[in-house]
Amino acid sequence: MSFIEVPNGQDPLLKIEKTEATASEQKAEEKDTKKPEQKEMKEQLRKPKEELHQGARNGVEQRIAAHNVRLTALQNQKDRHDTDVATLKRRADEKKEHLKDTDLAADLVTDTATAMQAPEGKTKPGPVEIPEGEDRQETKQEQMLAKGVDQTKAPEKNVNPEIAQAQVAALEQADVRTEQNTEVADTKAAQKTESADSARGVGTNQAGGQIA
Amino acid sequence: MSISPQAPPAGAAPVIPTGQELFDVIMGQIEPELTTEGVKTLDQKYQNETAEGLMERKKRYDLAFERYDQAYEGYVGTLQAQMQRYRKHSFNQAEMEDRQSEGNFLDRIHTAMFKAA
Repeated sequence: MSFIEVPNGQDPLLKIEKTEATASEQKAEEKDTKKPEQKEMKEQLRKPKEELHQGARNGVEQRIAAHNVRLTALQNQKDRHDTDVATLKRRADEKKEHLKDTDLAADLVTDTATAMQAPEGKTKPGPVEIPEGEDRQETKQEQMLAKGVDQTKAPEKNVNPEIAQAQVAALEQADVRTEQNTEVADTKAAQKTESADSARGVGTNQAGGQIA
Repeated sequence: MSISPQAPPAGAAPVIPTGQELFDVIMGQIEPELTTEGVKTLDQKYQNETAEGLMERKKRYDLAFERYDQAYEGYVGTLQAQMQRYRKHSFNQAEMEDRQSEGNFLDRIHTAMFKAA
């Protein structure tokens, strides 16, 4: 016994296919009726949706434009500041250059001060110390002293013998002349004394006579 | 919501972003759909949106922009504070270098004079 009644001897499978086809047709019909509704709703939402999206885009663009203005001002402020710092550093460098001369003067003062303190310090060379011992070498001064040369005296100059002889002769002549002159002067003086004495003797006698 | 710029290393100048970079950084953390790249895809993304969905989205966007404006003010305030710190630090640095250099020089002069005396 079959659960499916087959009227007029029809194939039961055919009956099932027919039923499924009817259902799909109904669905298609429902879809067709829904499509205009959806279309209408989409059309209604299109405008507000576009407005929303456009508003969002405008909001983004306006904010970015405003930010660009503000951030550019901030960037300019930073650039000005960097320039100020660079100028400050450049001026400091210029000042250093200017002070270099003074710095050299300071070096000079330091060197002078060091040189003045040299006996205690090591910058100024002190007397050469000669080590005592068998290997000690005599200094040039000691060698000269040993030879009887007094180094403290000024060294004799090289003298031309002819000139020296002439100088000696001249000196001798001068001495002779001086002696002669002295003799002449002595003779004259003696003569003068004698004559004066004689004159004085007469006078004295005369005077004595008068006194007597 | 507090979104701050990254703190620069000590003594370094703060990085000042462009308007778009700044907007995307802040809005990316609030509403990614409203970043400069996000707004380009809205039409396609919400093709089959219902009226209720649209209304809800509109409210979400309004709130996002409001939060963005607040976050932006905080961000720029921090950036300006970083700029002031940088300005102060760099001037102090230059002054200290100059003072040290001058100090060394004056010390040398002082030493030279008193040694000479």
